[in-house]
Amino acid sequence: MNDPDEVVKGLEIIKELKKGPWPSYITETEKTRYPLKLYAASLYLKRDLWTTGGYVSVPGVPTGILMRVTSRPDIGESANVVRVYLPSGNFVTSKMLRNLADFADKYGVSMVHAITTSEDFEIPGIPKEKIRDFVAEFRATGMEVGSTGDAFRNTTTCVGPALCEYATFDTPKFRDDFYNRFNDYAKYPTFPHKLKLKISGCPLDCARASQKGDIAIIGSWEGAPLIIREKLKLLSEKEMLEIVNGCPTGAISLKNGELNIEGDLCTQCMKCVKLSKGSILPGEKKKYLLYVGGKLRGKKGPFTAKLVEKMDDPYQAFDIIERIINVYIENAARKERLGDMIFRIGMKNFLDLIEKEEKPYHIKDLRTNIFYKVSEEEKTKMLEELKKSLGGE
Amino acid sequence: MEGPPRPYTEYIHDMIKRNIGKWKEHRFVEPGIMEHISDNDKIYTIRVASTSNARYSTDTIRKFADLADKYFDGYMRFTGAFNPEFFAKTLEDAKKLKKDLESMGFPVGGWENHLWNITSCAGYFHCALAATDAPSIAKSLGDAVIKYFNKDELPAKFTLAVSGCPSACGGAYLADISIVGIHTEIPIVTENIKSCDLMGTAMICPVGAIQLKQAEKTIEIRENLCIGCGLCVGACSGIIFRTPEKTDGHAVIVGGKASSIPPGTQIGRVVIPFIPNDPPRYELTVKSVLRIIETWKKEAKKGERLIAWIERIGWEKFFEKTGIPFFKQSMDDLDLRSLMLLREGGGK
Repeated sequence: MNDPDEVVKGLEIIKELKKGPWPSYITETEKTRYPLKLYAASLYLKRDLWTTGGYVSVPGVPTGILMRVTSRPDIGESANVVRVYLPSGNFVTSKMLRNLADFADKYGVSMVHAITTSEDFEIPGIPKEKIRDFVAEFRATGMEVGSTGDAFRNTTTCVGPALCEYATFDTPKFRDDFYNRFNDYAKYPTFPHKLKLKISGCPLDCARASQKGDIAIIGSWEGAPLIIREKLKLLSEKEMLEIVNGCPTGAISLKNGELNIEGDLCTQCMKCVKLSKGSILPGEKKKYLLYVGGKLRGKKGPFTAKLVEKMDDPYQAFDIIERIINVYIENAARKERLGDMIFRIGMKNFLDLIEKEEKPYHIKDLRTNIFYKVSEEEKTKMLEELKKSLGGE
Repeated sequence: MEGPPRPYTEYIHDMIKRNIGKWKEHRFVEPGIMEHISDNDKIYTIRVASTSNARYSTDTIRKFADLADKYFDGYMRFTGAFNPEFFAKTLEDAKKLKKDLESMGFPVGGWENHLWNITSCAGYFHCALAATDAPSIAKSLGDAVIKYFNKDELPAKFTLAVSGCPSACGGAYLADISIVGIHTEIPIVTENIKSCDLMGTAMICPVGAIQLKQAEKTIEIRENLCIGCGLCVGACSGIIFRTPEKTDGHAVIVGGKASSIPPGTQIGRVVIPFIPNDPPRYELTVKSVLRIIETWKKEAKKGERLIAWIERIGWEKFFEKTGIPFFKQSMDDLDLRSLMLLREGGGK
């Protein structure tokens, strides 16, 4: 049977994408059984030929499977994609990779999606009737599928102390502990919409927690960063001046060759740490910041996450996360992301719901209108607090 | 065990395990090679360009496994920006590994003041929502900017991301420059609608464009209100984009970044509201991205991320210097979102 016109023309187009120095996904795909004709036709037509299929229900596999339905069965078959968890920090072994390759050969189309944006792996092209066998066999090798649907999606972390001296706490271990406690929320889709926890070990935020995390934990500290004097001595004067001039708040001064950092002025931005070649590190008085509401999609478009709590120990976050989950389930509309819910009810109400006291770090600016209510009780309390702070009887 | 394989310490090399929390410094050696130094050990990480949609044949995956065996006793990792990342015990080995990878067609590069990688979603490759094909755009961009990945220096770290629709699965909005697909046609309702939760679907719509028709057990999408966000399409299999051929396109979004270094965490802004899809090579899109990179490279101070430079000179000068025309769609008229961003959160 001859291929339809759009396939013939499409295959010409994708030839072009095999050229050039950047690794070509077409060259890779040609080595697999993926329906390349379907993709080629869609490039020629400039139109997506996959269509939505909703969720696949497979007993014993509540999360981890995505359905892909073709609108042109004549040139490419429908298939399912299975999503696979990686160990924390995305560390893998060659044994694990070969195992995945074997499964992709046996059940899939000999293709592995080696890391998605939310940092799991996917094996595409598994027919629906083979999923149960796949999952059973796959679990026997110590691996697990998951991270789809309205559940806790894959929690991602930076490499943390495994490879980086900036880490303020063991972020990959924190992810392991998170799954020890919260795996049920990850396994069963019980939320109004998906929920993502992202963890970064320092304010440089390699896990992109402040952008992507419905709930994000970012390691930081209070006051000035730690100066390792004997290492600092090894820097040239030019390098020292670069650090001094690099500080965005002017917290760093150089007097008689001695570098000083004013803790009160430091905003923990890590600029000096990055310039210092290992001679300045995050400060010793650690603080762990909990953010909520970051997302890229949803009703109101992308939001960055907002700070809600400063903790002394990252593990204090677990109880707060539990409370946030409850508030989210009770208050969010169907398919409403946490960030959209907070936008709708307001940060002040959200803080009340998770039982957190309002603090100046919750806002960028104060309100300008005076249309609010003060109860009799609050009036008395305000008066007392003002007197206590400013003096008076 | 349920959930991810853990503890993670079972999946790392002894050389890494014994140095957890003991690293003293990491040093950039050359594009794609980083040295990690502790009191007793040194290891090297080698960062590799991924295929634009991060799909590999099992053949290549096995070759990666072989390289991990050869140089680091079978251990490697993948970064959140799609890069396969290998380890080596000496700088000599790291350079050999780089050669091995390059002979396989995988360039080594990134880190410091270079392009780190390009991320992309599935696009037409495996997704029902795509308005534009992300992998082919990412590949075209990659070919055009590869010199900034493994050779030429830029003012600061630089990332690129391509997403086929506003869901931004490819990490768009996060990157310094991202491309996001735009649906120009409204979705249509098919007979599958009967299997959907109608009320739930209507509630998803951010602009109230979905009208319930309870008696007929269907919904109607009001064309004048729909903004083409695709949320209903993702939630209900009875609503699909059936765009007439060749009409969709994508936007160029500029200035996302995550780190705390001023101006802090940023979400990208719409600079070019619409470029029609033009596979396979997307000349106009590539040209506009190159123009922004080259202007930034010429004008910015050392260490200044793209958005930091733009904040310093202002958007008016940005459009003037890059020669990119300003379109009215770049002004936000969606809702009071800007007010929220002004007043709430973002504290330290």
